[in-house]
Amino acid sequence: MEGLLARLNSVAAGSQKVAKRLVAYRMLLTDPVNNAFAREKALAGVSGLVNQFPDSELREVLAEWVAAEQAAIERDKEEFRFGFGTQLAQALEQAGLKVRGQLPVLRAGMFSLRVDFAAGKAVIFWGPEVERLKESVRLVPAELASTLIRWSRSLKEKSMEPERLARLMTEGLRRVYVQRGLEPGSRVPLLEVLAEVVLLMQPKGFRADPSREKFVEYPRVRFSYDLFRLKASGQLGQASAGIRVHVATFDKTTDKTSALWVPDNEEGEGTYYSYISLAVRANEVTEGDTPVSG
Amino acid sequence: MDQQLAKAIISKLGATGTPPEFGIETFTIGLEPYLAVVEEEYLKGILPYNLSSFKLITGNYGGGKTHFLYSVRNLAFRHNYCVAYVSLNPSECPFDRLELVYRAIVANLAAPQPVDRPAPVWEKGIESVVRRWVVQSRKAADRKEVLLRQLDELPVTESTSFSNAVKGAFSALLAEDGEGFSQLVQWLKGEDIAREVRAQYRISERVDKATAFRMLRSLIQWVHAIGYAGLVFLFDEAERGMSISSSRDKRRALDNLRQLVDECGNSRLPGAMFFYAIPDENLLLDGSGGVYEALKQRLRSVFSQTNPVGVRINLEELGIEPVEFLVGLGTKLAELFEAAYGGRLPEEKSRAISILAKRAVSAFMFDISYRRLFVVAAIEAFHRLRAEPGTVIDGKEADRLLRVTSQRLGQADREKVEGEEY
Repeated sequence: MEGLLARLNSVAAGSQKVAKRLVAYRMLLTDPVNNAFAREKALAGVSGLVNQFPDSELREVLAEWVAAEQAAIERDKEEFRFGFGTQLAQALEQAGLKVRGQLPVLRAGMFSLRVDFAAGKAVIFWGPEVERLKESVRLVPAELASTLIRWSRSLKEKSMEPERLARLMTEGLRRVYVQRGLEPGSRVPLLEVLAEVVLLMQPKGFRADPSREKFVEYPRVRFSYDLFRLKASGQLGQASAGIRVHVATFDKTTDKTSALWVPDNEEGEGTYYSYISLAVRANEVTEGDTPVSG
Repeated sequence: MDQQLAKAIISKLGATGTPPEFGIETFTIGLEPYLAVVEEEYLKGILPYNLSSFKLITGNYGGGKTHFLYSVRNLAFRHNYCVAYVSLNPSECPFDRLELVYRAIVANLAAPQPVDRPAPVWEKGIESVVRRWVVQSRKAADRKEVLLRQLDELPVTESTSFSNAVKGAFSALLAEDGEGFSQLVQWLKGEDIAREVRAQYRISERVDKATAFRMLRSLIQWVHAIGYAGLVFLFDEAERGMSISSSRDKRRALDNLRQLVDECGNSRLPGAMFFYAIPDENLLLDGSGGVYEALKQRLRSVFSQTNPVGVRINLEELGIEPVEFLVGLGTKLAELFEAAYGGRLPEEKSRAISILAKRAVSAFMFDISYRRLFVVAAIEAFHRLRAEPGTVIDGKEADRLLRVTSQRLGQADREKVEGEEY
């Protein structure tokens, strides 16, 4: 009798676990196509539990159901693929972001995303797969679109005024020249100047008490976007008239610490820059250099 | 059009959506403005003045790059250019290995030939061009000593070894020395030959990565010297990815490309025109694995009727609305289908074309271009209309056709990739 009781308890515990998973799975069936990848993952869990179930008629019924559901998921995944791009494009175009490209890599404005249908995930990048912004994003067109729209808006809202950035960069450059004992006009790494700009933009409170709470961050993606605006503004202050950014060589572009991708336009075309200099004469421009004021 | 040829075209298009090598004009649409500029400005314009040019073709996977390249090839043949169509791929012909690219070029070199029917396979390759050179020279002057004097007067190419090899191959054919001819063709194809044969024909170089560019220039110079208007290179990155895999390979490939672009315009490439077609310019010019800004800047300008000197030809922007493009394409395919199977398709065909066009365009972000999806789905629809004239292709049926086509082509792609991996 003890053995019988143990088996019944085991069946009861197993049934409860399966039932719990099935209830969760039922929720996913409210939107079977968009949840196709989530269903696949959930069903794998159910299937594992069913395999541990004692041999019985119930186990056979459950196994049959799992097999039928697996076939349905495959159909729904195809259905999802069919509609994914169109839904995403519609959602983004409402916010003024035009989608281009071809799956698995799509571009939306200055962002790009790499879609992995097999894993049911996407990676969002700044620029043409330049900076990874977010990994393992669920393949839900509305969610992906809202993430991209949120970032796009955030970049615009938090953007530094071109005049201020030019002033900070000029000051930052001068500091680097002094620290390194370089003559004005020398090229210095752009990312080194970014570090100076970040220090210069800190509030008084941070200088008095440099704690994390008082630190104002300035990620490279925002710097990249602000440089784009600076290039495009044509409203530079006196101090910035001679700032030039220098195009990166191939080797520099493979190293995140040596180059920064800066958009050339809203469509996401861009250029890598690795050095910056403060020109001695404003009209002295060499090939391959982009005067910020131009 | 010949019924069997029409059937062959429909069969190829219906199976994979990729264009056959012949009869391409029967279903060309929207490319005319680009082709007219290529013809007027380049083939008839600057190339005959011993200049050269480079164009980058961009278009999605299944978006008509190969079709465009075949169309250029046909134009080039009409204007007496030799053509080398080279399908680049990571295993046999990656662009970072120029010696392999050279081999592929000489293997695919073709003298002008009719384009409305399949060309025999032996009419391709440097061997066939040398043979034709000998035949045509014989027609012009039958006496052996005259022919040999003409051969002596032929300008020496940049690589003397190359020059000696082609002249040697010519002489060997004249002397009916099959063995000698075969050995020299082997060398011209980039393969090793016996030291004594090299000594006999004063060939001191090998085709390797150090000499590949020189051999390429020599090939161009030779083709020009033997009476052709020039040589048109059609490089097709036909695979979904690129022929370049690692960052180091990418750097070498981009260096090769930059050198090619920079060399265009100098007198060392008389009458040469290079077309390099890629599915995604970002794979080559942007993204991970390094970016060659110097090359990007050279390739930035956009080619158009108003700017024929532009480098980049974007096949996604043909200046024609996508639905209008597909309807025009569908109409031409229907005519081709009717020629292939005899008889007229029912009137439902127009509605089917229109619905399929609208639905395919909305699927523009698929991993296969809406153009290829449309071509395969339209041909399937025509087959159904032919078999069951009462068939109605409504929106739902069009979606189903496109979906099934997308799955089928996607599966075929995956199998191809897996087949290459193992």
